[in-house]
Amino acid sequence: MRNHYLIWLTLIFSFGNNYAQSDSAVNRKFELYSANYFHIGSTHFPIKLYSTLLNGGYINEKLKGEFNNKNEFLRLGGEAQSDIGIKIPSMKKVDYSYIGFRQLFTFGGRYHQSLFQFIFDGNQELDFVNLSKSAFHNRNFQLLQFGIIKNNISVRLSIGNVLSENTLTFNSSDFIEFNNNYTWNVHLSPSFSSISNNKNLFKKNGQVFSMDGRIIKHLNPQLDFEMGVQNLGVLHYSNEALFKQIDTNFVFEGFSFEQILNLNETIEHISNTSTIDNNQNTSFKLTPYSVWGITNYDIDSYTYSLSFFYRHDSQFIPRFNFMVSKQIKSKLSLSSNIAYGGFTQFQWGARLLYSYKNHSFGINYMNITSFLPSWSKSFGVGLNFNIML
Amino acid sequence: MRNYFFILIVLLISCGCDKRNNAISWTTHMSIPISKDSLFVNDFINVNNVFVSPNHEYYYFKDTLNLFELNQNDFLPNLDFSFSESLSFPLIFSIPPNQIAPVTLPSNHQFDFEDLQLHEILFNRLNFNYSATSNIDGNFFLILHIPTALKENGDLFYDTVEIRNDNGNNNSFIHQIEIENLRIDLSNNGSTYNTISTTFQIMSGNDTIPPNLFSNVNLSIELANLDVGYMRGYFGNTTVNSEVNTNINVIKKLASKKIQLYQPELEIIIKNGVGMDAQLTINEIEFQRNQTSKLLSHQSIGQSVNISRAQDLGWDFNYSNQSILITEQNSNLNEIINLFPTQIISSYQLETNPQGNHAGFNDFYYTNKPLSIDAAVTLPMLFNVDSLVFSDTFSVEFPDLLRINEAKLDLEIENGLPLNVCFDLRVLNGNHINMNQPCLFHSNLDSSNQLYSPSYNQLSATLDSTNSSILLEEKKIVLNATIHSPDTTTFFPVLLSDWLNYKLGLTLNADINIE
Repeated sequence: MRNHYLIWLTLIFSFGNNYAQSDSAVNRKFELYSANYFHIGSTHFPIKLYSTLLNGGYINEKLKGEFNNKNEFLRLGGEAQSDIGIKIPSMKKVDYSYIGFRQLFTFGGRYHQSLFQFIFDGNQELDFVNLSKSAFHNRNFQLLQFGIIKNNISVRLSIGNVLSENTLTFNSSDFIEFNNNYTWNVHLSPSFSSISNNKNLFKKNGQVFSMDGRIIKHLNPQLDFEMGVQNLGVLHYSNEALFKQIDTNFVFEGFSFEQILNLNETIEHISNTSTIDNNQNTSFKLTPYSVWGITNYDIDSYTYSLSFFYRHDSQFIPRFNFMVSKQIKSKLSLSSNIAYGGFTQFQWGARLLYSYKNHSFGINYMNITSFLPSWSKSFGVGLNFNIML
Repeated sequence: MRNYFFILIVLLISCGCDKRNNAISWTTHMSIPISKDSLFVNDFINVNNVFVSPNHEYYYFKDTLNLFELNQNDFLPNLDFSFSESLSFPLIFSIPPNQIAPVTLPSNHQFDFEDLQLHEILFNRLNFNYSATSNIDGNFFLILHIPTALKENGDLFYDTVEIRNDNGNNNSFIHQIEIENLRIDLSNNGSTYNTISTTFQIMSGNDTIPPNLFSNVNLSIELANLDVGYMRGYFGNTTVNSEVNTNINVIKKLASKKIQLYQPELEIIIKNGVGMDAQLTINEIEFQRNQTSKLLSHQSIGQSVNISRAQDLGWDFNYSNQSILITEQNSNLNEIINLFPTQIISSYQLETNPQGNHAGFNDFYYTNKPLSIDAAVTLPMLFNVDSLVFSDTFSVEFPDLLRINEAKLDLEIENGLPLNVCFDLRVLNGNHINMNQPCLFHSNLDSSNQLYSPSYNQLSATLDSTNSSILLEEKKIVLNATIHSPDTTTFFPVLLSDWLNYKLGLTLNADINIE
């Protein structure tokens, strides 16, 4: 049943990366517009592990995945974004005004193989857990957008709330070393931040002021280029937001005779070896913006597209995508693509676009192999539609 | 489109209500440190106040036991500073509101404290309890002044007591105040002793006191809850007899560990912090264990010892110290120590100021500097030991989410003691954890008894399912280490630097289970 919900939810909050299609309506009518996507992935474990974490069950060796290169960062994460808006034809200097709403949820992690093994396999086969530059986050934003569209340029300004944001980043020298069965040498100096939600409907603990921008350049009738930035701006934190830096370095050997006799002093000593500082000097920081670009080349009924996508302050690998689309009759377009990046590595996807009268509808399946969840390492699906009113 | 939103809402509600029914679990293999430490012989003896002899040949126990302390109540009578006054205030004129009547009534009160003749006293704390009746109509104030009393800040002592007497019917009034750090000269500038001088005045309140030639106040004052910090004067010539029981359980503890004691020493230390001469006679010192007892035989028993007074120079304080050394050569102490006594019963006679008031009222007493008699016991110990046990319970830190499939304890030992050692591991309910070859030979010593190579062993023990469950529940491991002399005839010098290192760790095959 859970999987059933997941598929439905995915369909509803799903991915639509075909930005070129979103402005297909050019008749200067009111236009209801929505672009949604959802994807999860990992560089090393199958997506069935997510399902197990969600539904419960035993995590066997197969679900823990495979490790190819000890020195590379491993990643896991997911994103869900839902945009809904309306384009309003303008009589003045611009083509359209725009008003919309965006909900964005992301989570991610970047870590070394040894940390994953420490958690899921234990430390018996490990002598070292490398925590260097490992980082984790989750965040949930909601944004209200206002914008204008003229010719090939659109600009939107956003104001919004951070419903929650938690980050944890380890320093480059952080590690845990296991010296046979008798000693743990621990060196930790991570920084973490936490913005929690509050009951106030408007004044949240974090507020976002940002902009979206997009430009299209038609180089010739066959070739166009398009790029944009999303959610570029500043985040303002209230005093309720928590920013901490821990610095601790200790050797754990169990407890000695004297330490057991003076347990209170021992606890106090361990506490004293940890320095906890409030490390936030300013109440502003850059938003987790994203940058994207796409170029399309048309030959007959085929379109060849090359695109990229990158999100700042995430554990996201910049994603590159190559897609071939075939226009079948005037209403239907089918595409297939290969991609690298995001929270996983290679993916093979497919997309369907359907236009009928004043409507257009698109569905995108990011990784076809995710039909085999015990094997595939990512899953993503998207939905977008335009309706002329 | 309507269908779309309908499905969306239904799904959102359904997902919000749904809960995960199954636990998430996975298998992990953990190595967890439990304890790593060095043990010395003192850890096995587990007795405080054990030291190493200067030549490092042996350990010895040294402790000081308090046998006797001369306190205020032992040699001074009870101090009762209570007095009554019938105060007559002939008021010819009325006293307007908030005015002091032009009549001051002085008086002296001398107290009888048997032989004790005090010139000066310092109270850390005391209460003034007033009880009064009066025929003066209306509310008024009675002002008590002690001209020879000084408060801590150097101010003169005044106390004003409000007496509410609405109808002039000789009603009774009780009033109490607490004063801290009050110093009173009881000698009227050296002319007398045990005397408190007072003056009394009355003051009107918000009402006028009408004229009355026969106005009076009948007053009783008690100085109660006396916490005396210091006294000076002549403390009299008194004889105090005392018998004191002192427990010495530590020797019983040593006896239970089969440690041999030899060449004991007992030092009787007399420390006088009182500015008063005294003469002490130790009538007898008896050592007891169960029903057996032995009297100490020494030339000082039954002989009087003159004790000089302490000296208070203002900027310095000198105790008067004397000691009597009792050894196995000048007493029967060896015989007594081998009894491993658990109790000392000592009786004394103390005569204060045997030469009378020859210091001229300059005896002094600080309550925190009494005359005391202590016994310093020194007991060298031989380590021809059999089954001397070190026992400890260690916490094992692992998450509550674990379900143990298999647990194995790893123990690494390096023995630098010239003694054999055996280890025994248990879970908290006392269940034994089986280990192969849990014993380790003594370290190797050269001809000058110096350690040249420790013995080493690495042991492991797998816990059965019962012990694993107890370990998971209690998170405690009990370690017992027992040391034995390699033979029963040789005297083994155990040095301060001789050690036994051990490392204890736990390896787990366990399931982590998150509900």
